[in-house]
Amino acid sequence: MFRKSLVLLIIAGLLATFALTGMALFTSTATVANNTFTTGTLVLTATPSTAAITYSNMAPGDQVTAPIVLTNGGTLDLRYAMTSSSTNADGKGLMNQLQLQIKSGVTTCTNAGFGASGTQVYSGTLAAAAFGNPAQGQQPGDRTLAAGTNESLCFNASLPLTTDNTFQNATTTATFTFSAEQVANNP
Amino acid sequence: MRAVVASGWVWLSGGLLVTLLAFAAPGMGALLRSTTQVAGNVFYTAAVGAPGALSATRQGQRVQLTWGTGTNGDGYLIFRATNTAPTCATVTWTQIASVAGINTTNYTDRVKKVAGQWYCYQVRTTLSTWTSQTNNPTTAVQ
Repeated sequence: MFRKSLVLLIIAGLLATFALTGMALFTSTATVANNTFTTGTLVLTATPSTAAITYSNMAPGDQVTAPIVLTNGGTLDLRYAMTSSSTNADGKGLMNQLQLQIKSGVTTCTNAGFGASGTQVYSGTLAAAAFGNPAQGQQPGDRTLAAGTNESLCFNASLPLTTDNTFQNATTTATFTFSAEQVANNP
Repeated sequence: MRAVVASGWVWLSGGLLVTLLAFAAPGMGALLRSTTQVAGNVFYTAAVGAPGALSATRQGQRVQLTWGTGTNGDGYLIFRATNTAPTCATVTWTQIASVAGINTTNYTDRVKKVAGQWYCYQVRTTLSTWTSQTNNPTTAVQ
C-alpha cells in the first residue's frame, strides 16, 4: 500500500513538473492588417440654390424658362424625387393658374429652345409640381444619378392667355425640394 | 414588416438556447438620404393701371379723345355709349377701338352729332388679355 502511494506521488510530481516546465511548444502568429472599411456618402445639391426661376410683372401669355442642375456630389449612386410648395398669401391662387413644365435633356434651356428637345418630366400647375416619390425605394418617376454626375432639368413656367383679370397683382413663391436616397441595397 | 434583418443563437447561463430576431418595417431602414431645396422662386403678375384723365372734344363729325398714360400696359381699349344726359355711370359700354402702345394716348372717333344725344367715352389700359379694372376714366360729349 505504501508502495502504491509512493508511485502515485512520484507520477503526480512528474506531471506537475511537466506542467510547469514542459509546455514551451513552438508557436507562430500571422496578422492581416489594414482591412479598411469606408462608408459611402450621399450628397445631392441643386444649382442655383435659390431663385432659379422667377418672373416680375407677368401677364397672360408670358413665360420664363431656366435650368436647375442636380449634382450627385457623393460617392454612392442615388435616386431622387421632387416635391414642391407654393405660397398663396393674397388668396388669389396664382400657383394654381401658373403652368409648369419640367424637362430633362433640353439642349437650349430658354423660352425659344424649350420645345425643341428634351423629355417631359412634369407638366401641370405650379401648385402640384412634383415627380417621383420621396418614399423609400424605387418609385415611378424617381430619377437616378450616378456618383459624381449631374443632370440639368429645364423649368418652364407660363401664364395662359385665358387667365382672367382676377389674377392681376398676384404673387406666389415656390420652393422645390429634391429628396435623394441611396440606390444600393434599396430596391 | 418587411424582413428579418438579423438573427442569432445565444447560450444562456442555464444552458437554455434561444433565438434572437430583429425585424425591420418598410421605411424604418437607416438608409443614406440627402435633401436640397431651391427656394425663392417668386412669380408676380402685373397690376394694370388705368389711364389718366380723359377729355373729349367735338370737332364737327368727329370726337377727339386724349388721355393720360396708363401703367403696366401695352395699349388701350376705347369704349363708347350713348345717353340722353351727360352722365355715364349706368350706360352700357361698347368697345369701338383699340390702340397699340402705352404711349399712344389719343384717338379720333367719327360719329355724327345728334341733337339731344350725349356720347360717353371710357378708356381702359390693356396688357395682353387684361384690362385695367378700376378708375378707368370716362367723359361725355354731345
